[in-house]
Amino acid sequence: MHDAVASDPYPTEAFARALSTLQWPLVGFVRGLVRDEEQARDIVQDVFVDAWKHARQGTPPFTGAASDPDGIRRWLFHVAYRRAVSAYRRGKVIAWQPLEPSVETLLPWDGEPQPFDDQIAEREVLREALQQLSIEDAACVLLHAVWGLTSTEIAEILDISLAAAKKRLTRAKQRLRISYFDQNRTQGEDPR
Amino acid sequence: MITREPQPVLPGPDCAAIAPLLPLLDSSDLSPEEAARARAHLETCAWCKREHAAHAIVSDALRRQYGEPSQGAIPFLTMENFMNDFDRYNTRNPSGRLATTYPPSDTARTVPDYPRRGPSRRTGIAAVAAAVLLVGLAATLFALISRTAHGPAHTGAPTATAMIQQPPAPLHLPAGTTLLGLSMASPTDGWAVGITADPQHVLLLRYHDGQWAIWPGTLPQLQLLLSPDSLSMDSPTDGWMTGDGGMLHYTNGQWVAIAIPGVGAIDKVQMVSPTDGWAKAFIQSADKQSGVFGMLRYTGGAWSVVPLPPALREISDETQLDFSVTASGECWLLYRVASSNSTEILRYTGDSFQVVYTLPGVQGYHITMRTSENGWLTGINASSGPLYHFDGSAWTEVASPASFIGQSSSFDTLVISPSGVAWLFGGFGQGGGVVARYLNGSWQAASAPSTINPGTFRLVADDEGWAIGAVGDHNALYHYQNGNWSPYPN
Repeated sequence: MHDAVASDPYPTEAFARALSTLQWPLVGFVRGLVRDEEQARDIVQDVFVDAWKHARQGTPPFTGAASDPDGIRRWLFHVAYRRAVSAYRRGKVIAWQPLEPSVETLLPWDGEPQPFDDQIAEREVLREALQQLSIEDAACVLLHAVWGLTSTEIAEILDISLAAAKKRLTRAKQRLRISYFDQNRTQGEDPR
Repeated sequence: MITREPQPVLPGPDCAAIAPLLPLLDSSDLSPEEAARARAHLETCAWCKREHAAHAIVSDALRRQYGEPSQGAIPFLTMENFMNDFDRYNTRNPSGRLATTYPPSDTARTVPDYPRRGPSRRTGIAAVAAAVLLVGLAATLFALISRTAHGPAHTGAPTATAMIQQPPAPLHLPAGTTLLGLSMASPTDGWAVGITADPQHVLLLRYHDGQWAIWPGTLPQLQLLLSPDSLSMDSPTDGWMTGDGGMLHYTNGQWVAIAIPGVGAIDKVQMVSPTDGWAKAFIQSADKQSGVFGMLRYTGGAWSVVPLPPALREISDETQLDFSVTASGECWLLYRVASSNSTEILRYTGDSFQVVYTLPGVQGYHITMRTSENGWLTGINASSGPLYHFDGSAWTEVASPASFIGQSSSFDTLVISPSGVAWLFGGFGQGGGVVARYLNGSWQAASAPSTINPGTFRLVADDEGWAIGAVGDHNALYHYQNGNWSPYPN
């Protein structure tokens, strides 16, 4: 049943590494695009099903010992992006939001811990601000700001030219900055 | 804790050139020279230091909210899932397609299509409004076109009698279609463009003799840049569509790819006639590694770069530049000068662009000109400031009709009717569409479907127009006529 696994363990090793290290990053990325935790997990599951098929067949980017971790990462983000865009455009994104945030989304980030209320407020502000961007712009910003991907990598993931990626990234970050502080003013006290 | 934006200070004269570098400064995306220039400027400029700090605040927040959770996060997918459950999962996927290609940059790429889960919702047309999408075109449009009830658009001028006798035939859009652009060459002829559920497939619709139908022809290979501004039909037999490094030209009944050397993404085109038009584009440097935004003009059967005044030759932020062409073919430019918190208006005066107005304290993002005596400036959203109206002699601030139109990110969309009435859209995605029309110096409210994408609204007469919207889960074309909106049957 798992012939490819038995005959060539390398691709599945690479798959296992990717599964363990990239599933949460991918969920975070997709959640920023489709704005729903459950939908994001569904999409990421589908992404890894795609990846598993490739790993079992030893087809790129899972090509045995020659597997390139950066290439795998780009491939996974690319497929996740495509699936998120597809889901978004098909109107399959769940419209409502849960009243209470899921536990996973409020797990502390690997940085400075934040009080629970602050996390909720910040999350809402960011969600509203990201909503002002197109899904393509939101993807650029998330890939760059959260995962530190370069414009070249973003261009590959989004299937756009390097010039278009840089242009989109600059514009998107400027728009998000404006939106973010606008939302802060709306939700918080007047900062002036 | 609500994050507070750093307190504002005044920009200096060099800030405009530095501002576009700031979002990328903390990455490796700038050249060493650019980074050094930006950092040296930051040493002495409080304004840019503030801007840079604001970008850092947002990036930190993004990392906190969308970054990797702590090591304690429990994986929701394990190898065991795949070793044990994969075949069971896969049997729910009768298509069994394995179409994902590698590397991602392969132009033949597609995305595998497994059954989706979760309830459906109305397509977020308004949210897609600003979406700009690069699409790798397949050489052929659709085999499924032959399954529709429609053939190619007919030729010949329509008659009123024919239109009355021929009720609109339903338009069967493929499931998952997202329409993105619309252009009407006349009340009886127009085009719309979009993508299907497979984003690689571009869908073209043709309106003729009162009927919308899927255009059955083929398209050449070109990466398209699709948005509400990407399509401009100047006549029933001629029009243009924007792409990356070139455009598609509709002529002699077919779309042909026109490469424009030295030009990258072209994201807005506005044709006046088959022999005259304008476009905004990314003008590449000689090594194609960088560039600036500028203007193209179509004249004499070819597109060429139009030199801009020196102050506008280093625009790397697309949103600083917008243009609009009047019905008589006069091109007006908007240049938002971030460093001096002002907006400059330029007009093409025969052989060059000249600054004709400077609006201090105004951050305009969009310019819409109907004639050289009737134009509007709009912002990125309602909070960006009031609207400005041009009456042929001066730009005057006009209060936005927020009392009945609400706060709306659609405020950047303003359409001017043939007789000069401005239409401003609001309230979309908030339960009901509202249109404010500027008549005799005041705003008057009217209604509109809440699902339409205002950016796609095209008036062909004062009392008739078309827009892209949604009915239920599906995209639809809306017809505005004599004060009423109705979706085209589908």
